Amino acid sequence: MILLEQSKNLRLMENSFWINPFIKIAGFRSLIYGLLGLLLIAVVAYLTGTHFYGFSDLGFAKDSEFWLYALEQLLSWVLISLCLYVSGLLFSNTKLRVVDVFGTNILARMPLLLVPLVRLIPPFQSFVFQSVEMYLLLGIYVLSLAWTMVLMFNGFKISSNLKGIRLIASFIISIVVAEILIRLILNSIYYL
Amino acid sequence: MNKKLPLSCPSCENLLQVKQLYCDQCETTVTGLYSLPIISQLSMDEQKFILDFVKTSGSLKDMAKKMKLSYPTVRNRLDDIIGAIEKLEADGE
Repeated sequence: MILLEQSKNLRLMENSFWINPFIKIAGFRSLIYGLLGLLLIAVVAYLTGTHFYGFSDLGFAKDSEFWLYALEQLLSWVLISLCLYVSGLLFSNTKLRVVDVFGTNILARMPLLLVPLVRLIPPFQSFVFQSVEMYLLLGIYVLSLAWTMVLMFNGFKISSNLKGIRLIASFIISIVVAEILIRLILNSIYYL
Repeated sequence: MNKKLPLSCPSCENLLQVKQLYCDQCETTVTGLYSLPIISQLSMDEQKFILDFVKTSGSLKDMAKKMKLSYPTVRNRLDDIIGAIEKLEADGE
């Protein structure tokens, strides 16, 4: 009885809106909301000099024009979505829709807004290495990254209807390949 | 009271088969051995999904609107039901 209750609670948690909004929102609607969100992230990142070098690296420098901040977001979104879409085509028996993969993936990026938002607060705008502010910011970044990954995973799960080891393996491989491509392209742009 | 049709044996969990059918109009009893139709072997939720699917003329888009779920969620449920039916058909052969 207790195990049944625990399993029911786990399912409720997995399907909660903050962990898996894609049960209710996907496709064109999530794409539109996501594009607006992406624009917001790019604007706040520009205002605070927050660079996203790919998915797993962050840097602070108010040295670039707006288009570079927007490009960092767009590139990351498009390449990850493309890799996930290809994985879905290869391993899923379901008819994948491009709008579902791209739409859920862009909406999944919204927690990344947290770091540039926090950077609007004066103590976080410039800080000393190994200060309290730096560690707090790092903690917020790790949390927002973890949340984003969970959302991306659930978005891909809903879009592709993949299950089990095929879902996990194709998700991880797609993220790694996309990250490599993002870094290569961004590096070639930074050193132009 | 809405009664649930039992599908598996409470003792050994094997799939149940129909042995007797009764007419409550003329009190005729028919005895034989019949397999449950495949659709009856699905869960109540799956059967309800199939009925709703037919009532929306096979439109997943309309079903998604009615169920207040996203399109891929509804499509995935349909794919899972298709998988379940194919498994039942394979087991029945």
